[in-house]
Amino acid sequence: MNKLKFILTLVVITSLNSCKKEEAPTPESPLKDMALVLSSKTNVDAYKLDIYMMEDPFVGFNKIYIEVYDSISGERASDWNFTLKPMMTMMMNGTTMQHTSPVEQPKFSKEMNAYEGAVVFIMPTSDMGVWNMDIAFENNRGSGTLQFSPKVVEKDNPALLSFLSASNPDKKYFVALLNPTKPDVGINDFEIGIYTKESMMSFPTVDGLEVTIAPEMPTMGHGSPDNVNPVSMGNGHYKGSVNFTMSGLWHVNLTIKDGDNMIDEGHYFAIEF
Amino acid sequence: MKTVVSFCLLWLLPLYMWAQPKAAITAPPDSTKTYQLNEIVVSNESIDNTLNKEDNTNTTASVGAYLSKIGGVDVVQRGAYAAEPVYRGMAGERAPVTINNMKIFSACTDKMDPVSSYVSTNNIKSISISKDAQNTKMTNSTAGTITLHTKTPVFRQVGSWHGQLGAGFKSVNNEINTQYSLGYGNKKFAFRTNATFRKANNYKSGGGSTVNFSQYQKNNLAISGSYLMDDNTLLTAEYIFDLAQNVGYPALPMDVSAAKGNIYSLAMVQYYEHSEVEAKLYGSNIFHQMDDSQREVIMHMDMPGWSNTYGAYVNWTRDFSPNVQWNASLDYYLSQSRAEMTMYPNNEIPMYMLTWPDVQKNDVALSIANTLSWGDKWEVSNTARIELGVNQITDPFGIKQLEAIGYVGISGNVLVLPFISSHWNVNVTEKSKINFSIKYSQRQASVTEGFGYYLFNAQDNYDYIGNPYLKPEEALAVETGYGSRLKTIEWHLQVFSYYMPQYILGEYRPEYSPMTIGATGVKFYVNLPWAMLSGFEGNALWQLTPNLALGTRFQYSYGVDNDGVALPLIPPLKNKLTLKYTKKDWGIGVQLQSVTTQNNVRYSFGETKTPGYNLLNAQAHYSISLGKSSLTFNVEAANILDTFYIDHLNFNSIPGPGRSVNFSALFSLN
Repeated sequence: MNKLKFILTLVVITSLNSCKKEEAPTPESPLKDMALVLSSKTNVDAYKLDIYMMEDPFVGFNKIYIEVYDSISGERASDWNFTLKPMMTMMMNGTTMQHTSPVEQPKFSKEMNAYEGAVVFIMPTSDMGVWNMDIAFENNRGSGTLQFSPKVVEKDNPALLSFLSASNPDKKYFVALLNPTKPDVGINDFEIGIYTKESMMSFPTVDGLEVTIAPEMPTMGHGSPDNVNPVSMGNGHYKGSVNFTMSGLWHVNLTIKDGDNMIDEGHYFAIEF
Repeated sequence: MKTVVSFCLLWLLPLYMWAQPKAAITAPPDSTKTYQLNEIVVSNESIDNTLNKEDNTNTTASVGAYLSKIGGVDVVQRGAYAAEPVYRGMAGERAPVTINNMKIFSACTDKMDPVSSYVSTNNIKSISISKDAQNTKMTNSTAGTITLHTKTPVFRQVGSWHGQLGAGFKSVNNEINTQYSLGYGNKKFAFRTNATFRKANNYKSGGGSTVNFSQYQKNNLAISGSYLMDDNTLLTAEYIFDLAQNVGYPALPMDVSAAKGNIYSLAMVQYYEHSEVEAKLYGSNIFHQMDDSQREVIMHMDMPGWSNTYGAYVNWTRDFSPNVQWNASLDYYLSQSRAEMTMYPNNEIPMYMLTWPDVQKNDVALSIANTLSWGDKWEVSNTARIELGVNQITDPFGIKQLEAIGYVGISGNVLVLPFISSHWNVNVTEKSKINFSIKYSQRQASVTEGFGYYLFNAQDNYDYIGNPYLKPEEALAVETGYGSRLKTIEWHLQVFSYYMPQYILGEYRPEYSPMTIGATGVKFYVNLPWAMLSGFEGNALWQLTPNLALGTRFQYSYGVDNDGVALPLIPPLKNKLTLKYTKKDWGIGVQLQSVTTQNNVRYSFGETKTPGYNLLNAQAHYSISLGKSSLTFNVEAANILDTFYIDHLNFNSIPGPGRSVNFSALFSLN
């Protein structure tokens, strides 16, 4: 009995300890399984920034997490403002061209204990063009800018579609696949982001479109029942669900309309697992 | 010698019986007492056995041929191999098959391996059908439990060996069949083993066209041993190994590369003065590998299936008086069914699903039965059984799959299934008797009906999806029979009717798209409000002279659902007329098998009206006695006129075999 008490006490002490430790930056971070793309000191006190991405940068919707903590005390900051500015610089026939891409500016997430933002890379890094990412930060004690150069790759099954509107050939749309990130048989959350291009420097989100999905196994020619069409949630995001009745290669066919105007049909996301 | 004869006679014993309850206590396996079993023969089935005697001793016939000799039984053929028994138009879970009362489940989602395919003919002692009362070891079912009883080791007063060596050939598919059995018995110990090897090429239908993909090859081995621990305790262990390879199924889009069964049991029977307790532990492991490598397909696929069952039962029988017997049994089994499908497209990752999502069934049942008699005239048997079945999907992949088609949060189900029956026999006079029975039963859905996932049915060209919400199928059955035995004529007629609320059948769902390339659509198993099945079966034997007999056997079923639409796979009226001349050592017979047109068909099940047909067969046998041994030759000319025919129960309308000359020789050492 005494032994049991002793063990229980130990357990309590251990768990108290672990609670305290949670404030320290690294080991218990929810980000620890992600790729650390940049770790840098700042010019603000002893604060450091760690920048994580879910996976290596790819053409499509990339989440970016920024951890801000005091390198001495380990204390985290949640009152900073960040501005991401991705920039593609291309050399074409001796002239330099630049354009940015859709971006979601970081906001502090209590769940992740970090700032969460996203960037939609719309083309891969190549011999002709490179991406640079500016991360501007400010708070009441100072401000600054960090930069890194993500090497963006195209996935085997593209996670970004781009096309011209069927009813307005001057308007270009980008549709990024946000979910499922880990597709599996059964019911999967299905989420996409829709963006348009206003200028080389402006890629705003598009809300309020009507999106219909139709999953299909291309080799077999069959679909799946009970899918939920994605609906506009604001901020360019559309959420629904897709059902996969078996594993293998699936195409999720999209039809996108703006009221009565057809924007696109026939494009699909290829998903395999 | 006498003992062996008596065990051979078991073959001639009734295949279902009025008087069986009285014989349930067979007394300790004292060799002399086995004769008392012969007393049971007062049954309509004895007529069949008189006619079929020679056929039944021909152990080179198939199990399907054996089964279809039982009144009311028909078979569904998907090829030349592994016929699926149908009793009064009911198959599968409606008429489950067990081996020596052991629950066994097929491992093939396409019914390529009915349980009866795992036994060889030279190991079958008898086949019984427990429809209503009389057997507490049965399963809750609509039609009845078909039990294959295998041959048991034979004790002898003086230790000696016995055995058989046989070979057969069929010209229609160049089938060869070789087999042996070997046994030894003394007062305390008895042992038996038998093995069969069968190999056949494609058969030819009437007119001579080859039916491709109808070849097969099969090995079967059985070993059993019994030990009499003392005068009242008997231990028996049994093992069956079966391996079928390269089995073609012309009615289906796939064949089988291997179907493997391991079946084993250990039983103890304890005899007391007026009672008997039997306990048995058993298991079976079945693996089934479908194969389409010989077929022209867009994409090859693997479809393995596994079925593992482990069970135990205790059965207690007691005679309280010569007129009162009680019977009780407690029965448990665990079965696990899993089937996978993997497709291999070019330049793509494989596609995979679970067609049986690893369903684990825990099933426990309690049965109580009694048999009461008043004088020689009246006898009544009553049975009550309650079964609890718990189904669980044990592979998370399977649960997620079902979610994708709308079964959210389903990981299994629980069913409580009652069964109650009463069976009356009245000996109106010494020469005539009437029987009457009534029963109410609920059966649970099969794994396919409950949890199957996009299983293709080649007959109606639909993919089938199971339904875990299915209610148990109910059956209220009544039947009555009358038989009489006059000096030279005996006959029997049995009439039955089943009212089946919650009848389980596939229903088309246009909103689902089929998985199988080329399939018409998707059907879900549903409970129909009700279905009704009625019919009759009977037989008559006219002993024209002491050596010449004319016999007939006929059966008919008619089934409709609540909309008046015919039920699928219901056999039409069939009649077998046999003329047989028998002397001591030899006999000849001719048989005319007549089947009427089946017009009551279910079009939505892919059925069409099937024309009737007549087949003419002839058989002859000759035995030579060589002291302690004997040599028997059988020759048969089947479908003499080479008639082209399609039986209504032949799956996907494959034609039956054409003319065939079959030989067999059997050497027996007694």
